[in-house]
Amino acid sequence: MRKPSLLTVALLISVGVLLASCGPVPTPEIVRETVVQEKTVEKVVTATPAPESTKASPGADTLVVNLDRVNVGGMDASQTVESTGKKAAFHISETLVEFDEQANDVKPKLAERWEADPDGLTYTFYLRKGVKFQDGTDFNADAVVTSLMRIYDEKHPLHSMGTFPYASFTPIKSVDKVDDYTVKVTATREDPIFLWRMSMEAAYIQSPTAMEKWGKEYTNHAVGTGPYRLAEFDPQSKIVLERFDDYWGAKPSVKTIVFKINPDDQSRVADLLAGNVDIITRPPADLLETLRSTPGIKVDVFPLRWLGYINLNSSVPPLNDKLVRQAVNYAFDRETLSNVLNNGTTKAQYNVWFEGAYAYEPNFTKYTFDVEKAKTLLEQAGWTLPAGRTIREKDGKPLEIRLAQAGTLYGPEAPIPELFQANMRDIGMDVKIVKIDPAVFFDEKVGGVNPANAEATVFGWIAFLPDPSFVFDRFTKGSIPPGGYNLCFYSDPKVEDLYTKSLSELDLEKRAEYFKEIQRIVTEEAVMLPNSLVTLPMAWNERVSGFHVRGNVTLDLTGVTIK
Amino acid sequence: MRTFVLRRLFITIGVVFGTTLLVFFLTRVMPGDPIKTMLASAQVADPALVEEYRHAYGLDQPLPVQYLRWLWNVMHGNLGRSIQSSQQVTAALGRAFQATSILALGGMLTAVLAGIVMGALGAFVAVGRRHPILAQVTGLAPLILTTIPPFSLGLFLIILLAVKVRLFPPVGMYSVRNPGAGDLLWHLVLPTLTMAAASAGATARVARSALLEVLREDYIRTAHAKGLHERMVLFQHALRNALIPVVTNTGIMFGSMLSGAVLVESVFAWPGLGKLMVDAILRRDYPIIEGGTLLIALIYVAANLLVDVSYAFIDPRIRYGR
Repeated sequence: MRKPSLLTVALLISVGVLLASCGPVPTPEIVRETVVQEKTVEKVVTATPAPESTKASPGADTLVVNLDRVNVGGMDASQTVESTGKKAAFHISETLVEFDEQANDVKPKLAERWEADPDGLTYTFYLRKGVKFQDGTDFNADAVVTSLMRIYDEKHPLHSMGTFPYASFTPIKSVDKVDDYTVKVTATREDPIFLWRMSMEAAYIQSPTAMEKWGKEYTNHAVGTGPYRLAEFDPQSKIVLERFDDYWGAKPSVKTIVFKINPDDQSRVADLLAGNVDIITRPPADLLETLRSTPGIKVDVFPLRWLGYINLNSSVPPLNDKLVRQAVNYAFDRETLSNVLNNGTTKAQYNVWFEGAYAYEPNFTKYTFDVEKAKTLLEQAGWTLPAGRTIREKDGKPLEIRLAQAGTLYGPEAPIPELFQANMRDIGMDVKIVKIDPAVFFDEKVGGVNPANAEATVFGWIAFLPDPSFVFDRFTKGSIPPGGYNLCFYSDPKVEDLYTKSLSELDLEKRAEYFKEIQRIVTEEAVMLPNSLVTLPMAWNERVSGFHVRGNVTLDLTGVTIK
Repeated sequence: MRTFVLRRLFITIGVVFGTTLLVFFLTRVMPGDPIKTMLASAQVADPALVEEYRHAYGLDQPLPVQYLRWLWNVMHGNLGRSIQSSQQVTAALGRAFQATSILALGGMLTAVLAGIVMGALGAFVAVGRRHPILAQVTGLAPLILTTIPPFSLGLFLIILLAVKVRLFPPVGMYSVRNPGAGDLLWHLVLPTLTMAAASAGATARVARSALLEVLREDYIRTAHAKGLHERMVLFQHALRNALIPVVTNTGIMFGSMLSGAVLVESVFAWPGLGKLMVDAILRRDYPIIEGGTLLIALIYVAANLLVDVSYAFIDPRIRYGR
């Protein structure tokens, strides 16, 4: 037997690398989970003793959560882009104000109250007293100034500690200390939802002492004021949080929370059944029923503010014709996708905004599944079916498009392309599926963002906050790649104007009208094909109760009790 | 002997850097963009931010400059920072290497022991011609073991021994509730068996054929003829001489186990080197890919060197000199 030479090994690695660059790949993760309505898990009162399967885990002081992700990123809420990391980081640090999904407004957190100056730019926050960071540092105006200005002041000594991808979502110009417990925050522009933005990633307050101490390593050692402190951190396998006993607010009942990272669906379920973990995210759709009927295990799907859709590129034929886009919208069977293929883990969706959320327009153009109507529209558009053929033609050209999908990176794991292909065949359109490596998708030359490579792309978005401004920028010119995610390459001066006006309109009612008008226009124009509302399926041991799934991928575990 | 080792070490340096050079440029020419992919997961697409990140990771420099810079940093023990998780690459590799070593060591010990036993049994039975059915079984078993894909065997073991019969934990390296050495061993059983299966099969086949060959040698007949006890002939004369191909095989196995535990690590969520590299390749996390390649190259070279050196100890006829 010959020994493989190192060259062979190098070649093998290279081949692996090359293979990785062209195949459809099981995905890394993406952040796009948010909730429309906050949903609380009711405490389960059960008279029957827990079955065998649930007795295995001793020590009700520890809650173990198995997350369906590949790795974690850091623990600095303002730096990490990984949803897994954020799930843990949000237990460690806090913001001045917190977004309350039920009230649809912010409520006090580290700031007890605040005032908005009449100029619409300056906000004064009155800070909570007697709050301590987990390293013993006092929470005060200096901590707030340091924590925020490290992000927004490029000359700040701590600015080089990392990169802050979310800075633009909270447009802060300056933060000034008024006295020890009062700060003045100045926005870069008048913004109707500036206070809401103060609840986002970039506004999390970190311990200045710890940031000084760790610098670039800080994200592995984050220290905040939250109910849990970081006890152990291994980005490849787990995060351990310990209850912070000097926490200013209501102290949680669970002492230790362990987040285990386990991207494998089957073994995640096995771990739950074996009693090794208490909560798992995303059990595979085909195992939901089995889990539901397992004694001691509870299963539910939690609504998110996550829209699954297909971009229809309106800048190139044949989708530059509104009639064709409408036909495509009529021909796609959304109910089958959600109820059959996704087993109820998604919900059929027709509009581009979420029902029940701020500025939702109920009177939009709804494309209910209708094959005949789709065919009629194609006839009107001049695409006719030659005798004996299955694909329509116009001026001798066949009706065909390419649909790109980047793994499951920008949409839930569902056979959307295959269903789309079958549905479109029924109306005489030929669809070629192009699978693109997620890491290549945004490559302007070979990726899905280049219209030369595909006429349609499977995609998704999360609204970080229940405000359409977070996603309707995808209908504007400035968001056409590389500027943003307008992969429909859509631009309409009317929509552009409405969107621009909404950015500075301080009257929420008027602002809602602009957004509603946008919904009416883009659904009538069939700019995209919204297909489903994505949920977060979870399964957990019935001993556990009291967790919330809400905005920003947050799995809020502070209220958990274990029986 | 010493000159041999020194010469090998000298060549090794060239080989290792050749490998890193190759992988460095291959990862850079393959399509994909780590920064944009990462920012897309934050739903941010600000060209200015992309530039800022590129600058922070030195990706805005020409390729040769990037490589030389990387080399310079490697000489200073700095492998850079992961683009995805911003942790030190050395720290990530260290943790992963430890996890994989434990798994590979366990897998190798199991594979070698089981393989030699199986192979020896197979050879003796075949030579003895007294148990035709046993001979069939011992001939077939290694073949089956080598051909079962590790991921299906792993899942099968999980379902059977962790879910149906709750003997072992299904995944992970430590249990959250009571970590410790015993706990690690307990977690090690299923992945080790999965990992060892294919190699045990391969070892068994190598051992069996080597033994069969040795058993036909004249000196074995001589040993029999001079009235040595059967057991003495087999273990003292035959087995020892048949071990050389087994050792070669083991050396290769160790290298491939360290670097190729990918499937087993994925199934058992074992936080090792293979899993780290696959995740990094999928996300184009250049610093991790480059650091990992360097480490794997070093492991391979070291394993091969060890194999060559160990020949000398097992077979005195092999001499490295000059």
